[in-house]
Amino acid sequence: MEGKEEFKKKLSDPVVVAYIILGLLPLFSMFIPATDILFFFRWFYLLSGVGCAYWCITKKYSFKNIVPIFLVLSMSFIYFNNASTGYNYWPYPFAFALLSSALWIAGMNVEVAFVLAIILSGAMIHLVPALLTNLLEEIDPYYHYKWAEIVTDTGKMPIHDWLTYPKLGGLDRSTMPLTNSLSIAFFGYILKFFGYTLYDSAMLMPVVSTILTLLVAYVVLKEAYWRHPSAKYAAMFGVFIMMLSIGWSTKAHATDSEDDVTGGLGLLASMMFLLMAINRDSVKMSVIGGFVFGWLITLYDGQRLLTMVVFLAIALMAVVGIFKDKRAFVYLKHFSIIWVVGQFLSRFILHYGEGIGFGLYMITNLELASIALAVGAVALNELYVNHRKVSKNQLTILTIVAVIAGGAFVGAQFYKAAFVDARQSSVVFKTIAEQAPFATDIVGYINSLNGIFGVASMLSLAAMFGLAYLGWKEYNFNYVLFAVWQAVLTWGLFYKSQYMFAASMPFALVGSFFALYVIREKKDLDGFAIIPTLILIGISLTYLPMSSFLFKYDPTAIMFQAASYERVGWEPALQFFKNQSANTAVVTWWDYGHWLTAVSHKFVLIDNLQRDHWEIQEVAKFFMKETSEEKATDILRGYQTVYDGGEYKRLFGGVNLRYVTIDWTMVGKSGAMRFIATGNLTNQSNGEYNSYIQCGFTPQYSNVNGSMMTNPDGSFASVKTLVFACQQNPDGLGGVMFMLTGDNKMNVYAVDVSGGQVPWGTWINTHNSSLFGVMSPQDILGVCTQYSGSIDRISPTYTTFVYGSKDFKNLMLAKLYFGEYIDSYRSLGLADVNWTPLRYYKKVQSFENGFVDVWEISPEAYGKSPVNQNDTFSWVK
Amino acid sequence: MGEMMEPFAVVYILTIMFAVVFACGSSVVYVFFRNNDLVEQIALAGIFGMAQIFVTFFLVKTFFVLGDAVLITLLLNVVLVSASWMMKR
Repeated sequence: MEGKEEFKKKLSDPVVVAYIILGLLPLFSMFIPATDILFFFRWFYLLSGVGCAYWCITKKYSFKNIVPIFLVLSMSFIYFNNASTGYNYWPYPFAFALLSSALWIAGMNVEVAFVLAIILSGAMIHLVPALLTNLLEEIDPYYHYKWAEIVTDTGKMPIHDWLTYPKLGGLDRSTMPLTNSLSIAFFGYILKFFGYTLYDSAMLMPVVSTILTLLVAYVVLKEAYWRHPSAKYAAMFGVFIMMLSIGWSTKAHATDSEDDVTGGLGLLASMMFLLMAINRDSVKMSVIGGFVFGWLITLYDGQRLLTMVVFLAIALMAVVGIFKDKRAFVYLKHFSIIWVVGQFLSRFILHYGEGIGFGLYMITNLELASIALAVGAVALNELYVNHRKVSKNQLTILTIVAVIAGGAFVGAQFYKAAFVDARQSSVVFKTIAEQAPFATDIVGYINSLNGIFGVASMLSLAAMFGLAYLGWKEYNFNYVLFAVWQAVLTWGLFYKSQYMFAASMPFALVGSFFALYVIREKKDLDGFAIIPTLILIGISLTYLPMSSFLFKYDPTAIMFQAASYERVGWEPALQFFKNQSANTAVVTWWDYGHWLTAVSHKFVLIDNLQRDHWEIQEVAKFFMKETSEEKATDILRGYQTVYDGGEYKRLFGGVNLRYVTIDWTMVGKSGAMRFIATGNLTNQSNGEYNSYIQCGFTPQYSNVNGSMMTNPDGSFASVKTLVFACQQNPDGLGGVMFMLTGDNKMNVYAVDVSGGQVPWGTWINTHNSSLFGVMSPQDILGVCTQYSGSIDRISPTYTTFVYGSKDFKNLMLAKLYFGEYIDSYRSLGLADVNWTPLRYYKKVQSFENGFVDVWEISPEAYGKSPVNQNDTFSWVK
Repeated sequence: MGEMMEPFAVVYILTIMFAVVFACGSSVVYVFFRNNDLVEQIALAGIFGMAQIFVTFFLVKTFFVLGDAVLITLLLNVVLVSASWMMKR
């Protein structure tokens, strides 16, 4: 009671009240126009900081006040730096720290003050993307939204996905871990009673998972440092780093409805129960943890990672225990309960078909190997440590037998995971950024880690060794678990960028180990503890917005991870497709599969799951290998035949493969498509490395106002020079230069990479090449001349030519996307192609200045007769 | 960049979602974790507020449509707390 009275008294202190108000104020900035904030807040915070400092000095307040005063002045500083958009949200991290320290000064328990502040500020930081756009971000979140919508519309869990991969007959979804989608539907159903929608739920549920993850991470760290006097301070440090980790926040923010952040929550929650169960040797905790692990299995594939990491840590403890004469059975006991209960419960949900059932599917070989390793190691540990009746010779023989028998299977599985699966060998996956290695060498790896996880990632790497050492020395399972978790994902991320989010958790949290050694008493100032303390203070500072100026790590990036230009540019096209008949299928690259199925509710051949590489290759061949319209259309005929029969006929009355759509980014992706189209999927040998080359307008090398030049006859002429710099290419084309004279004459030169100029006609004859564009050359040159000062704001279709040589002159992607204005290019001598008008494809729509174009496929392509001949091919609806 | 969500709507929706999560998760905390410290209880309430959807998944996969499954899941929390309270009396 006395503490509460003291707290109430402190809350009436004007300085504490001022700190709290100043801390809360930025949180209201979303309601105030940015310009007003900028004008008002910078001076307000500066004067407030100075005022508070004056008050504290004159009244001789506690030294603790230096922290909030520093924060108030820093917030003022941030408002003076308004170079980037969205600066009105920048002080949110400061608001967190200020609130936390204000409540602490007021006498609140430091732990509760921290948790309250992290709930409030964490939510504010991670909801900002929803204030920038009303679209879900990027691609994969749409996959989860798609299922949430289907659950909401039908009331039932989906069993089969008919919308993709027709040659596989769609995909069975009954064993899919769809809890994330169901969670969106769950909240969407409740929000409906308050006048909100499923879409609102999808936009904001990630924020709920984000905050809960931070709370759980706090408890996980406290449990990991169980009974250590500085455990809570280390936990606070780790969670602070996590809240402002760019790597973790790539998925943990509003508008990203993918399963990662909620899955990460389930993973940490399972880990929390494991640590609680072990620390207290509580079977009750293990059983309840099993329920949580079961939830994780139905939520996220990361459960396999957790299984591997924990069993590996148990195996290590068992081996170390043999040398230290300590048992490891307790660790195996608790995680086995969690694992078995989780597997058992989840299989009542993840089974084939509907209704009551039980999934009898096998776990992966890697999980089996991990379990075998842990069980074998613990069995040996028990024999060595607990059952001394066994003779030494018998033990040695048993050990050798176990190592040989188990080693063959276990070793093979771990070798496959660490050296084969981690290094992706598939032709298709080689073209996918997240399947590519995160780095190619150690120096590059460290630089990349700093960029996305900040300098705290170095702390985590160092902590990995410290934890391993102390785990061995003190025989501490929690430390070994953290060291293994960090080691596995440090290895995995190096070889595959896909593990970035999974790795972000240990990279944010494990470094907190050093915070166990911060100053606790004044006498430590003279001791060794001053060094880790200074390191921690330094690292904490790098996680504040000002750090972008000093350390090249900008945590404010978290707030701006909203839908990209590409996603926004596609929206009108997706709405167009949405309005087509339900049994319509669209041919496009897999990148847009989730959008077309989730937003437009249309059939596609392939999607972002990349489930059938053969179908992906066929689509790649359609766009980037076939030069004949007939041969390319043959590929589509194969799909239409599938759509005309079987289940597609029975369930949907047949599906019409009616549209082809291409967007501007497919020009950039043409290299990947060509690589897949020409690769060998049987032996996974690489395809051809070549692509369409973009030549973008370069104002700094151009002279759009014109300059006087002398004609051969001695007269003068004003000449405008427009230079389009090209991407690196095998032909050695550096750029294309247009020289426009006042008398409407145009001379075009190819500029090679060494600066030499060749007339364009000579160049295209020599290299068997052409220049193309989505817009006419006249329009591109006109727009570039008129808007050269603000060219970044212009659609790339108006500022960029596309260059292709040899086969690339006649591929279907070119004939479709660049076909509309090809006569203009030919007449100006820019293109040397001889295309006949396409017989089966008619352009029907263009969106966002050609960013997305749509062609309708004639029913005649499939030997069908159109019903009537209007302005479209008139498919039967 | 398209339109943005209304700030008031964002705050209101998040308040509803957090209220649902913590209210539901509190039932599990009340029954099983009454002796844990406050911060742990908040985290546990958060976990079980979300993890209860595991039960909803089972209900939707078997005999119920989404709306019924959500209501049953929410009611189970009331049943859990009531049963625990009555047993303790």
